[in-house]
Amino acid sequence: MRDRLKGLIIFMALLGLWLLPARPVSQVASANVEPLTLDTTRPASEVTTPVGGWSFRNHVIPVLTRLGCNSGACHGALAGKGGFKLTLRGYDPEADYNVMTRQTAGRRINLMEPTRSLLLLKPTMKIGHGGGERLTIGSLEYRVLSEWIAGGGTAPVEGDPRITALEVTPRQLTLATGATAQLHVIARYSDGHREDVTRWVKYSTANAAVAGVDDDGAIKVAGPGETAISLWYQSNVAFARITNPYPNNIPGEVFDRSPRHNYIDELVIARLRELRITPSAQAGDAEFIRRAYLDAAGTLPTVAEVDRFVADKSSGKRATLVDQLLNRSEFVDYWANRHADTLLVSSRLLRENAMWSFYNWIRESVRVNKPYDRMVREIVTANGNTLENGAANYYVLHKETTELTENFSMAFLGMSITCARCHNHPLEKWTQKQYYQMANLFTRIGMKNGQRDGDVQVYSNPFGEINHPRLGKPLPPAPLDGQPLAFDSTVDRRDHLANWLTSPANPYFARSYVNRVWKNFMGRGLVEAVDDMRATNPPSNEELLTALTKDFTEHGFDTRHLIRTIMNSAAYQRTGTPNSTNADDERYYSRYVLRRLPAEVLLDAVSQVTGVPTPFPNMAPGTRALQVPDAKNNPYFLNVFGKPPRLITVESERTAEPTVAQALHAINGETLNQKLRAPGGIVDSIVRHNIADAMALRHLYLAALAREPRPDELQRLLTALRESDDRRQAIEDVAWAILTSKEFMFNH
Amino acid sequence: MKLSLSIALVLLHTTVFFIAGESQVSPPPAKRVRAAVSALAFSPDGAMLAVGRYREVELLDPASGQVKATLRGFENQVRGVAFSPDGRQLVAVGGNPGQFGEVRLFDPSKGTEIRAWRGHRDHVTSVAYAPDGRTIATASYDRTIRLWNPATGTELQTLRDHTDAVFALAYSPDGKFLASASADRTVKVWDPLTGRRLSTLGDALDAVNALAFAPASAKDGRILAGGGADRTIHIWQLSENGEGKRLRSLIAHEDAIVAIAYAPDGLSLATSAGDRSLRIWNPATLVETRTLETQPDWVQALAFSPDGRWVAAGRFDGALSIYGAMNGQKRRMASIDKDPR
Repeated sequence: MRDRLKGLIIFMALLGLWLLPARPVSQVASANVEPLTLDTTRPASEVTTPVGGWSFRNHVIPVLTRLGCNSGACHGALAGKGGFKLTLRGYDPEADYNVMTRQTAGRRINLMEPTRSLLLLKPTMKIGHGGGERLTIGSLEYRVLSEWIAGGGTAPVEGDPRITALEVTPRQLTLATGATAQLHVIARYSDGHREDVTRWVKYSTANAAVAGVDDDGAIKVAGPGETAISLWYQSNVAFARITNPYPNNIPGEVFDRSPRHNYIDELVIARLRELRITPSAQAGDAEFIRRAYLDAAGTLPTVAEVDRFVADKSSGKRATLVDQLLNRSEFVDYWANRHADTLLVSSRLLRENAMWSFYNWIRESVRVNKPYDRMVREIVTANGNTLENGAANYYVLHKETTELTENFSMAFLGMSITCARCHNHPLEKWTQKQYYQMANLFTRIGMKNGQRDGDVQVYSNPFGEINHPRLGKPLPPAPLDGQPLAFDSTVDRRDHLANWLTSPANPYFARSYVNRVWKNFMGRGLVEAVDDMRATNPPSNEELLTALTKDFTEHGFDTRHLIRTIMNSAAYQRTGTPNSTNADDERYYSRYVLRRLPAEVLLDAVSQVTGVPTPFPNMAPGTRALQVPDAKNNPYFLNVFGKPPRLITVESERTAEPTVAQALHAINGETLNQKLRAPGGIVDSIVRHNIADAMALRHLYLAALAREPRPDELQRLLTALRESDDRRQAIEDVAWAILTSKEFMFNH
Repeated sequence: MKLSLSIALVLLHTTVFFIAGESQVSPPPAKRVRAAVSALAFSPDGAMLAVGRYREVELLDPASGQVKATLRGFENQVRGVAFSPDGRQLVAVGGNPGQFGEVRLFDPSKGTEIRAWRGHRDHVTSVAYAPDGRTIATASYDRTIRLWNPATGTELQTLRDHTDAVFALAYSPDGKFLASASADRTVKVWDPLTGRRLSTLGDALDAVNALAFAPASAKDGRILAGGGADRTIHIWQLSENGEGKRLRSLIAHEDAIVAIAYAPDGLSLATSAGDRSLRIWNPATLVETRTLETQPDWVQALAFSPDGRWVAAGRFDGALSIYGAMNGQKRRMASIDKDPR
């Protein structure tokens, strides 16, 4: 009897396979592996109920998610809706099962007469439903819910098959504006079976201006460019890439002839060729030197440096300049400041002496070009007195385990896992369990007061766990998707974490850092935002980010090597002036992306050009803004221009957004006016030494803009100066005009 | 019995077709499951146990487990049963979720219906007879409590102060107070004569599912026990004017408490929970005196026999078990032990 039944099932399955309509080649190929046990794209009446019935975990929950029942706006809200409370997007099937079948005496499902279940009557609007009509009788979703109830409402069990992979076809599509396409998503399960879950996946597009996607996975291309369509299914994620080349007709030799200095250029040009974007020309020497100084060291080249560089006729002079910049103390100041942003150096939570200790440790690490993996390992495993081991201050800043877990992810993995503290991440694969496993690596850090005020002794405790809030017990400590450590393991939990983190195989650590450094020079991260390194937020050039990361780790996590490689690329050395094909492009590095100077760099540049430094409290005279370790009492100018307060680690703390306050402060603020009027400043010197107008103008232009004034500019300004009866005022006005110009305030 | 089951199944299918109405798709056949037990009550003389199930109440002999009569006519799951204090009437409540509640009154000795009526805007969750037998109180998912005259079926009062579903009701043994437990995390105490709310007990941290007054014999006056989603047993003492004071609390289970019952002598308290455990406590100390066998499913209804010797437990999976209150041993009764599936 049983054998006959088996035979029948096999026969039906084969029949079903034979009846499958013709599919694209890629799918037929994968269909040969193992027949689909479910195909949600077929008409509901043709779908066969899986052997063993619908699974609560693998079918009922996805249906509730597809219908929106467990969304944040409906029953997935923290407080539920109308007394019916589900977990957000079904992250806790066991809890949902109890709520649906047992809670309130089984009010919601009716095992005796399934179609009379409230779970079916409400969303079909047979009975008033605040959420409106969500479910159609006869649909596949209705069938799943009603047949699951009719089957006795079976519970999720530990042994349920789990998803091991989501496969999307096609993974990559090149389409023109107006074209449509259909995605197919196959879920592969731990027991080997496969289901086409296209209808139940959550889709979203990264860039709706390029292509949109509907709830069924149908794509419509809206405009040129590239976008990723993200898929989320049961806390598994994947994406498909949609490319729509710009409607430009560019001869192949444009790309063939485009300069290539290193591997970066091969990969950038390949992308531009694919998208039909012509790269801008290479920048001139004057343009390059100013840009390189500002990007690498946060400072302007002096007039003499510009003159010398422009006059230099040697072919390798740009590479030489880059090497020189990497060895300057301003380079150390600039990058120490960048790290201090990420690590939140400030006397807000640290004593002054501890803040200095932390900063000095960072600056020294940059000065000796400490390999980045070693630098971060020293932070993660830091022990000892914070005044002696500055890195240990990291733990004084982040005392709470969850805060530490979240800051760690932002600072060193470039992603936020905060959502997963309370529920599975709704866009990502991170689950609440993973979050608390990771948090449990930070539970054995002891701290006690040291000998002196401000000194804290950090040490490793032999005990300490954090409970998973729902399970009420600790979980084995494990890095996000790394190996767990046994509870009784004698390995220091932070050592275990550091090993995982700094392994070249770690897919997040080096990659997120390389992306941050890349953005510093190229104006836009390959992944943007740089602290949103989600699997569903793919880079604009995957091959390039992979190659950069590989090069970086193979060179021993050498930051200067990375910077040198980027700065020497033809991609970095392109002009910011767009051509007819790339005015819209800020993603594929066809030109230099203009950006306003960061607050500290801008203030230092004003100080440098005017020859009048800004005084900072408790700092030696002549200290530059980039050398100030603290962020607690930022001067007004720095606040207005977006120096981060270093309260939380997030890239958006530093803003480059223009504001009215900035305009007013630049035009009429005290910072600039005082520097222009100060005795001994540039204006004062020009007037007192009676420097000729033309020479004064040339100096101001070179000092501020690293270029000579154009003849028309020179003519107009000379006339203006000649006609003025107050020379000091006139020179002040010219300097003011230059220092408030876009050309000065921007890097280009 | 076999015949009546077949008839029930036939009836059941007719209803399925009726409700599915306009659908073109034939309804999936229901797997044969035994209807959940959602309410239990012993008659005051202990000779009868009323068991609320899907669309019917079984009246069985607790000594043998034999079903003596089946009371039908219900629209849906029977969610509460209560005998009148003189044992001459049995009230059973239920109704359609999201639609209405129903109340049916029977003569349990004859197995006949006396009166039936509908009320509430959602199903009834719980029912209680006033100790003088002159009022029936019903609680509903519609957030209200209604008081009825059992002699006529007319509504006397509607008590409306709860802000979420009301799950349980209990009269104090002297009949002066009516207590209600709600998903709004409170227990409210009412004057059943005036319908005035006397106090709100806000000690629970989550929905309160179950409620029981200690019997009149309890030593320290009017004692009320409640439990719910916060997994905690709360014991309150009520003053003369209905003000409540919490005497003690204990996180008693690993999941929501579902049902609670006092032994007739007031010296034991039984609780069941979503963790599938069934425990007996000393209510004066909240020390656990006995843990009964772990249940394969949620115990949704609990009742002590009037002589205090037995605890009846009805489960979601349709099984009914009777345990010795003293030794915790399950009584073997062929008639009710059979595998429900």
